Amino acid sequence: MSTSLGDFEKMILFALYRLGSDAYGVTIRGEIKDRTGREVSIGSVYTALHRMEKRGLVTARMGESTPERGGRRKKYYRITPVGAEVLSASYEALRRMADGVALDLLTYPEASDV
Amino acid sequence: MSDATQHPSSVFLPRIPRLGALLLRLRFRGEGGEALIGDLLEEYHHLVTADGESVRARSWFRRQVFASLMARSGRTGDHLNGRLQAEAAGMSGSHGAPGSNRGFKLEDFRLDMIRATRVFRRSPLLAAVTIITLAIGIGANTLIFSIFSDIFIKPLPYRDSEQLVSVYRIEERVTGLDPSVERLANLYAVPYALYLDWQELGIHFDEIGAFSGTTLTLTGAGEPEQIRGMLATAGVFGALGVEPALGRRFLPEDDEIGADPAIILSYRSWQRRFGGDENVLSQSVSLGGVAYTVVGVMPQGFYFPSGREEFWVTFSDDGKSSDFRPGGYLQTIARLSPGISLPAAQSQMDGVAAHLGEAYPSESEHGVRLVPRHALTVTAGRGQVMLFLGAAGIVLLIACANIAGLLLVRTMERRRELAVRVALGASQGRIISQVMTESLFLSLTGGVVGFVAAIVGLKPFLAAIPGGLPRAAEITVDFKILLLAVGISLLTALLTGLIPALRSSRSAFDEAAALGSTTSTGGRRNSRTQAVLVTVQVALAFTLLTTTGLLARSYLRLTQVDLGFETDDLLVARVTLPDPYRATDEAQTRFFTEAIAEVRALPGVEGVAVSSQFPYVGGTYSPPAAIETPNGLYEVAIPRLSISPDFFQVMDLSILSGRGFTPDDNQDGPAVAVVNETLARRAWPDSTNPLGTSALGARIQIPGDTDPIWITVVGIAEDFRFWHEGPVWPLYFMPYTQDTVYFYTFVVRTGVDPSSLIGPLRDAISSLDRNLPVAPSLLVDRMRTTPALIGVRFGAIALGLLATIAGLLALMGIYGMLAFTISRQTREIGIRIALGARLQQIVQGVVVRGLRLAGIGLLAGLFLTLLVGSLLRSALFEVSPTDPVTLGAAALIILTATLFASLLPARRVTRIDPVETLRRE
Repeated sequence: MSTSLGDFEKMILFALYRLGSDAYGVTIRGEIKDRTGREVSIGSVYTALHRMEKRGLVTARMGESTPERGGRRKKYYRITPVGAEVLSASYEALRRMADGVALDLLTYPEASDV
Repeated sequence: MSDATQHPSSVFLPRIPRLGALLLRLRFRGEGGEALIGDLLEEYHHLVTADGESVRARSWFRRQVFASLMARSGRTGDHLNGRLQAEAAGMSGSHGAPGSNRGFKLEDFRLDMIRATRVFRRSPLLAAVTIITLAIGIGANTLIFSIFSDIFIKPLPYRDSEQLVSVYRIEERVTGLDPSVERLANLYAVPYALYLDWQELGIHFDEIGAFSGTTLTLTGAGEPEQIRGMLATAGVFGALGVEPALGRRFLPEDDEIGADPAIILSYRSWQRRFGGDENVLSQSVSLGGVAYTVVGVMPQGFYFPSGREEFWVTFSDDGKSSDFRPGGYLQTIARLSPGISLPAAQSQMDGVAAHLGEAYPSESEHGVRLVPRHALTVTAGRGQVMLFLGAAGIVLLIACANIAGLLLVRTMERRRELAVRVALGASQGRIISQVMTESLFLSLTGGVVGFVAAIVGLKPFLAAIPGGLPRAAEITVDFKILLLAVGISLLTALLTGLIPALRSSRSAFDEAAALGSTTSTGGRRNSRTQAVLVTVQVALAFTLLTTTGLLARSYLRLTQVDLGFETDDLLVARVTLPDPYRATDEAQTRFFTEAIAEVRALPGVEGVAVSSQFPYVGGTYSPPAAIETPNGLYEVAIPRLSISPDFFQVMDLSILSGRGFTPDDNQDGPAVAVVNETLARRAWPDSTNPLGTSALGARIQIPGDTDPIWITVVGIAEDFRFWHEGPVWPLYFMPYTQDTVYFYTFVVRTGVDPSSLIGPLRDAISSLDRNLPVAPSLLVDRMRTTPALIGVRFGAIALGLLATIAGLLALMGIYGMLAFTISRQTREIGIRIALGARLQQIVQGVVVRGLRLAGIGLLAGLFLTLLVGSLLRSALFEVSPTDPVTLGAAALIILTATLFASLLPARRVTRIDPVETLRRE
């Protein structure tokens, strides 16, 4: 299985982890927006979740319905152990690459000027 | 929404657009589509309860539905940022094998397109300017091209129209006269007798018909009115192969002598005058005092030959039985038999002409020529359409050069972004296709706008063309034009995108190699390209400007031309007498003599005369005649004006030699003529005479009822012009009491404001006969509205518009280039200022650079103008294509405008703060 994850997939997996048992479309979108300021479409969240579900990185279960949802049930997602492992590995690789330079990037190009 | 505020307890749910919901379900089938919709509703509900107002919530909701639909499986993230990352990842994957990235990928194109729209969302002004520029260029070209193709390429609306020809008589062997008389004598019209011969002997014609334009007075239906139509034989409709919508067409029986007069109505006339009544057939219509029986109605859209005809009538018995051969008044239309080529038919008819020459002495000097009908119908508007076509093409080229310059600047500004993409593994092809996609996006958008504008503008544009274009009614907007617009847009994309794409891909690679340095590497090369683009624009704009200037000057010359008589205080009114008057010459002469007396009695009238032909009133007519010279008798076709004796005095034309006409020159006296100077000198040259002619006493022969009539020249009158254009025509006059026709133009010289006499003049003439239509007008008004003149004026105005657009575009180009150069050189200029350079010097440098480019452009434009000048010659009047005044003025306009266009960016220089500039670096 590929361990590569896109940025967006990483964001969703982190959101699942943070939200625990309350992770469904609305809260996942909210978490990403609160933390990164990025407004993402609910459709793209579902698309990514569906793909990761097939890869075994997340699992889903149907939850309760509410009136404001027009009687439609929620679909809760949870990160699987494999998902957690892949996320960890993927982030670690990125973190290692960034090691020692992340701060310098903020002041580029002056810092690297000869 | 109001439900939510009025009943807070209840849960208000927005109605998901049914199609949107269906698509969402389809799209996310098995991926939790229902849950997704539930999430959307839930969040919407939160937004409404939090905000208390739902406009924003609803807009959010719609955006979400749309964005969710757009989120494609196989790609991650929200629809823009995520994709770019995904793509960058894909690029790094192919980094090792650049060749594998070759070829067109739909997905790449889609991404480029999305990127292009985003780029221009960020700089809407740039996008708007480019799209409008291109819309003008593409719209103008679509418009002109569609007109061009419909007029010149589409077959005529007759059956197998490529088989249609017109047969003309040509004069091959008129000799012994001044060459220009010879040209005028080259008569093309055909006498009825000759048409009958051709019908009999032209074995390669399926059908041949003869026709002649006519204007007849319609009486018996309200106000008497002159309407325009055609005399036509059965062969005309047979050759055209068009069946009437109602009734029948003319049959060979209608051409026989003694047949009842028959009329076929145009569809428009049938609708307008008969209310589309199906019972119109076999009704009687009174035209020019003759009762015609309606036998048919042509279908809607049918026209022959010009579209202005309201009817077609059979020839009178006089016309059918005339065996007069020297002069002709007919045109012909013939259908070549299937499989017969034009040359084959021509050579057969040459043989016929030779036979006829043996049979009839008068035919021995004539030949015959077959001309394809299509060529005849469309030559009229060709020059003007070609002119517009050229101008529209130039505007599009300038627009392309302009946009190419803008895109070049843009790609230079984005060189770092492109360099990053190259560094991430994008191939040169990918960079080129990205930049090209941007210009494609712009061109297509501009194309759509331009196409819509062309559709909307087509009818008004056609209506604005004076005198109309031939076949204008057939011009429509159709699928073909859409294809054309798309084609032009794609071409534009190529023209505007290629240079920036190639340049930027190269410089992106250079840049990628030197990523991190603040100076650009491809800069010099790019600004050279930019300079070339600007030069091209100036050159093209200059060419268009001079063309416009030349046309404008032609128009001025035309309006100022001296006709040889004072035109300002002249009123004219053409009167055509109906049949009852035509019974005898006396009846006609009496009517006009009485009418002249009535008009002369009007207060304010200084003089009045009548003439059978007059400048700017109707066409000209050259009845058959022959002049007697020492070398023999020569048949000529030159206008003969039948006039009342006062004509020369009213027109203030001097009699140079001999005398004018007197009331004694009537039917009892000997037939006399006055010739104009030009005819006198050409027909009877005599260097021993002070006037250069021995015309006095010379003779002219015209056909009489039984024997030919000899007329003696008794005077030579001063020349006057018939039309603005061309040389002065040779012509001669006869007194209206000797040469009587049934139509005359009243020429009234007034001592007061001529327009105040229009009503009195009409009343005075129609007091003699209430059924006579009379419509006096000012001669100067007729001159102003003469098609040739309006044509030139319209051309000048339309071209002026295009030239203004072109000029503004070129200036935008110069301005943009200089502004960009300065913004790039801010640092350099800052240093120079810091080192003590004077501001004035720097500003001067910028302006000089602009003027230098304009100068080079002008030189190139001058060369171009000289090149196209020869093509322009036919459209000009008394103005040379290299008219120095026009060229100079155009150059001055461009240089002045350039000065301003360069001063604007130069002003920026003065705002540069050297300390700030250096610190920023």
